[in-house]
Amino acid sequence: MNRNLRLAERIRNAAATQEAENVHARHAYLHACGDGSAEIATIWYKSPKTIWSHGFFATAVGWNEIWYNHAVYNDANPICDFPAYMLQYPEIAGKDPRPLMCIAMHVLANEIIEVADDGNTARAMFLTPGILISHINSNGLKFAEWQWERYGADFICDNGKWCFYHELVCPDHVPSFDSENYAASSYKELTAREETERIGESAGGFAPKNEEIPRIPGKFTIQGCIHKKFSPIQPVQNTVPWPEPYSTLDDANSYAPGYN
Amino acid sequence: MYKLIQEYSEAELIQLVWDRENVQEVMNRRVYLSAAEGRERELGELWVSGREYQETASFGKNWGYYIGMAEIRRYYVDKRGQDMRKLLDAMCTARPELKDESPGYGCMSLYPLTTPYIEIAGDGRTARGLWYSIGQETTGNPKGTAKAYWIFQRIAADLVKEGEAWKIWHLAEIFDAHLEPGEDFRVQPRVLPKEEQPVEREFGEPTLKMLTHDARYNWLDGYPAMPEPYYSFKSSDSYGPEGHPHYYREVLAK
Repeated sequence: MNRNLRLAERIRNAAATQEAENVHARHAYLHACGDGSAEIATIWYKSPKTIWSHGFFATAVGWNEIWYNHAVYNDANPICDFPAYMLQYPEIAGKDPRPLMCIAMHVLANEIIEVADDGNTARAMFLTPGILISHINSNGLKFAEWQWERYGADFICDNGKWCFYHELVCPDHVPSFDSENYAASSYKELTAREETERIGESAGGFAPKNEEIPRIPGKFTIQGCIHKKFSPIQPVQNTVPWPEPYSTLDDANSYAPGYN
Repeated sequence: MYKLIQEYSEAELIQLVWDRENVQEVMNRRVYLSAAEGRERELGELWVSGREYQETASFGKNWGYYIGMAEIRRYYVDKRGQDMRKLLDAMCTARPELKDESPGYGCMSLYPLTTPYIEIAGDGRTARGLWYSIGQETTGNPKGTAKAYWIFQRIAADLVKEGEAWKIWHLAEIFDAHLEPGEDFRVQPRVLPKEEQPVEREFGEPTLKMLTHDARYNWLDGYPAMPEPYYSFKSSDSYGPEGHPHYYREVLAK
């Protein structure tokens, strides 16, 4: 925290810190029940410079693209999978498929939050030792896996309401919960590369999708990996360093340089 | 926040910050006391003490609510104390040297809180919060082994300000899943009979029996809902039984 702020600024920034935490928690709970449309519509900044990035594969640029990936694409997948689920559990017919798919609970811990001296933005880093669990699956089995990730987020105060501006999601490892030695699995992936690349999936995850059902593709302006999941030969990564005290959001103080 | 941030005066903002931190601290203290078998102390120090609040206090799980502090005590303190005493007595049969140990010996119960989402009412008198806990419950037995479970649950609470202190008024621990360490969750039966469901068995016979959350369908039923900004407390929006969307169907319409 900047120790040179006036009392009024400190009070304002202390409140903003808590609001940033609330906004990220709101994301976590909406995401856990698959409600991407509510999340993107209410707590994301409507700007062409808004960014959402998944460290493993790509970055969506602009609110419209984020809406497409998190609302349209994320809603479409449960709808495509729903018939297979209904065959297993006929009683779910007529229900909203989105919260049925799984509980993707990216819990928030270890937060470091800085609010700008000007009070207009905030930056935060979280660790998320989260879980992905489901009691239902198209193959009739339950599943549970860890989803350990790191978040780097910039927030903006838009007419008095705090919302996401930029977010980087950096998964570290996603092993099956308590039934897999993830270190051994990582070694096996390295030494048997011809086998399926297990990015973002684990032996205990979703059942294989029905390839005959056409799916809408994701849409990402920037392709490419910025963070690697655990491997016995990985270099040290600090993809989302903690935020330092800063006066205003700019390319030197942002998780999305070039988009401020 | 009930208003936009620029609509708050400095005094209101600092009070809001102060209140939110205190609410979090009350819930954090609860975790530590619960882990140290300090439930009696928890009810005495962290829960409501005023008569009007004590009569309407509640402790809910997936299978209903204990309503009123006397009922909450019956479950949360008395039943736990009896179970732990019985367990220790059985352990002492095999190992008499344990006779001076406290009930709870060989057990570990820890539900750390993450993902806090706290709203302070616009009138400053109540608060609502939601947290997620990846916790664990481990119970020793006389043979020297132990039974352990990972427990995933949401913890929702209404708190009320008594004087200057925040106190828990309604608490709901809504369970998503349990899993034995080292076990593949895939092979766990989807539906377990009550006698094999440790969390349901532990909850006993609540004052009001009702299904508050059916964990078999993930978060389909949407309970408990996230806190939303609000001005003043209404029981129909609370984490007590009257705030459950099926309360009318389960109670009033019967």
